[in-house]
Amino acid sequence: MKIGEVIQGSVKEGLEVKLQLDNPESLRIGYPVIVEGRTYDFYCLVDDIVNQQLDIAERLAGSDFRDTIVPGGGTHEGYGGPIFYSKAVLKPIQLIEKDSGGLSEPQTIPPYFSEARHAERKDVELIYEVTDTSVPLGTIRGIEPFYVHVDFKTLTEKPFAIFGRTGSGKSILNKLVCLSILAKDVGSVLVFDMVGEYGIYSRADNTKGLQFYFKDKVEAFSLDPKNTEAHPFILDPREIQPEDLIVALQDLSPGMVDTIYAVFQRRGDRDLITAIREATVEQLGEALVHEMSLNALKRRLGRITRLPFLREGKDAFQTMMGLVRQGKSIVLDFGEFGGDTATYLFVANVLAHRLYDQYTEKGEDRRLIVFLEEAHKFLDPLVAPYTRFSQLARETRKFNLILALVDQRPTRIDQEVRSQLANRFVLSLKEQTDIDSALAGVQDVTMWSKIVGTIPPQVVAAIGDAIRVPTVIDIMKYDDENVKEHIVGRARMTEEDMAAVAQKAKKIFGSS
Amino acid sequence: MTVRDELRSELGRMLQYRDAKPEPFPLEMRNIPTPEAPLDLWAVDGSYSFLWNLGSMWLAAVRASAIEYACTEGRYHKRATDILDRAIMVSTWEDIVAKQDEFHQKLFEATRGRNEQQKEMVNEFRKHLEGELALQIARNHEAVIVAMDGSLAAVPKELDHLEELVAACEANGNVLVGVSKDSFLHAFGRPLPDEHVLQSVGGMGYVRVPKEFEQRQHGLLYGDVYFARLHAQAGKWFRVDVATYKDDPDFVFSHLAAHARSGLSPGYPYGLIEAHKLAVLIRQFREPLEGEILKECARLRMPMGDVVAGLTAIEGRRRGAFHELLDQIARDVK
Repeated sequence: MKIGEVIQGSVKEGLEVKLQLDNPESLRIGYPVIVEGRTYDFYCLVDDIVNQQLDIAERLAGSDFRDTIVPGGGTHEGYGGPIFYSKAVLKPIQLIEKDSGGLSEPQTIPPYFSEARHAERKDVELIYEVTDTSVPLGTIRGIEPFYVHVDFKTLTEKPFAIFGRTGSGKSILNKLVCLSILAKDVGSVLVFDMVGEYGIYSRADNTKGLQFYFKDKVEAFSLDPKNTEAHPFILDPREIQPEDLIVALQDLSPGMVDTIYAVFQRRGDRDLITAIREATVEQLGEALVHEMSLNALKRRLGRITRLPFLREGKDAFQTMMGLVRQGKSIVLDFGEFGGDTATYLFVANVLAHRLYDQYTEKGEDRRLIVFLEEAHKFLDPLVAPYTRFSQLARETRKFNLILALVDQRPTRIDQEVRSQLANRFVLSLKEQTDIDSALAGVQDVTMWSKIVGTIPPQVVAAIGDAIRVPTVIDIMKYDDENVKEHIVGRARMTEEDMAAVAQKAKKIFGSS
Repeated sequence: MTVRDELRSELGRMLQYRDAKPEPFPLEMRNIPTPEAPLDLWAVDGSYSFLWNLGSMWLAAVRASAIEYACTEGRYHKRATDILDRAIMVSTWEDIVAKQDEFHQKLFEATRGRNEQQKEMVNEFRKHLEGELALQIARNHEAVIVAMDGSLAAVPKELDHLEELVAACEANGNVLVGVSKDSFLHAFGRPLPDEHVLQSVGGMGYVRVPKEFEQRQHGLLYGDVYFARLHAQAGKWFRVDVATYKDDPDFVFSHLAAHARSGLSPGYPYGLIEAHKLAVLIRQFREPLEGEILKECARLRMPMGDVVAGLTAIEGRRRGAFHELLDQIARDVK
């Protein structure tokens, strides 16, 4: 459907279209629009919608005329369309050559009065490529249902991120991304499952988790000894490094940090935790540690030493790596420790250390994607030097170890780490600093900034090399039907599932 | 007597004339009924733009525009537009006019002796073109309102199409009206113009001017002359000449009033606003048309300086004319 005509344009600033819509509310920021040039169709996104300043509108506003036809977009058609019209600013993001269907970057503009219309299915089908390793995450906004594919092989070759404020739909998107990686078998995933969302069923909303759909591909480990269905997660205290404690305890004073390193250098055969517990100022010397710092550290350490999984035994890490080599993915269930941030930081950092060493020193063939929720707690510029995550982001893609950040405060993630992100899924953000950080380095950042600042929950701006053009996607509803239909495939359905579908069909179409 | 004395004296006289109370004609107001389904309305207007001047010859572009509206469900739908664009050369020197065709000579004769005759000639040509366009519409459509901008008075008669236009409208059952934006008539015999007199009358209605007035204009008028307030909140009364359906003014005004309900300008047919906007667009086409003039003059080997010096303002005055310099001095030096 025609929505207007081009009245102004610039390669740099985009196109301005005089809208011929009765109501501008039918258009939204981020909607795809086609401008029909002579040689090319310009695939554009709506950057802004404007009601221009009009003297006549100012004069009429508030007037008390009765029994008149109130001037408006739909009531007064002039010789050139509605006399009160809105304008849309469009950003061309792809050119489609009319004859060949070939795609290219927008390096020109269409002539005056070129027609703008809503993008249709046939337009987007030319743009979005479906590959053997692509999976749809949802539909494009502002168009009849069209599932837009993201290539997961490309996505998992480099670090990527999911940014969004609380309640914006990060967890659902994260689940869809994990399932897609498993469905296309482009790598294994390691998920730190803080609230029991990724196992068989979500403890939060009872939806099905990764293990439900990929029972043969997902192994669960649990920090909680009471969980007997998962592999026990045991962490050998001898593996603990000073940085693990610094990150886990986060608010340590410089004196306490110095004390940890002093004890670590003099621990002998003991593990670091035991060494700290047994340390005295007399042993270490007053020049190195202060009594107050040491005592405070010991008190803080109580949070860690009480953890039941921190004991000598069969170390879970090697078991995990063995499973990864077999092509399996790992869900690390935090059980009753799910609400304890210090435990999460501690465990994640210890594993990051070991993964880093394993992949960089020994080498692994199987790609592993580590999903790091609350990423800013590891990658804050103040904390980042003590974690291996910033190194994971910067250095390990060539070693098959990929970091996926999930966070609501991108502004608190070290800029150098953000610059490594090849793909970003940006959900609704409200803080301008977060929006700026999430989109740093993105082309047409002003437009994307407006989009991200105004999109509702469950909508994501997907930007990066895993998708043909930056796209605003309505994330698909996370339910059994969608997951089976679009991600895991009907082939993975069980007899029980088939029976349920048959039952539903009978209800709709009758028993004949 | 000083200037101040004279001002006081003349002001006093002006008020005296205003307040003079000759026996007025009675105002026979009629209400305007509401039509069930308003007829479509074709609004016709015109405009011109001078482009170039060479001695006593002027070149101008003239446009007549028409736009058709349907008024349904509280909306004004544009149905169609029609445009006639023409260029014309007029001269104010009789020797040149004598070499032109009969039509140009008629234009010259009809405007002879008027101030800035070139403007009057082009203006008459605009009316001629409007008549031509209206005639096409009247012949091609049935049961519509043909609303002309201005009165339906033939001055000069030999240049217009009014006679044919009325006949075509009658043949096709079209309502033909002329709506004047401003009128200085004194048809009701009051010291102030009729528009001013009627200003104090509220509501919605129409009134015909006294027959004596129409009789005085006999031979020039193609319609009955009314003043109408087409909306209860209209800002003013408009002169409306009605050339067909003369025996049923209720019918005419009810359908016309349906097209005068726009909140933009209650009481004035919305179609005429748009026809005017479409017509004056000719002025915005000056630049490309001037480009044509420059190219053609270059082809004719005319010195470019002379060509540029001949470019005019919209009203036909040379852009570099001396009076413009004086105007500028008057504006800038206070």
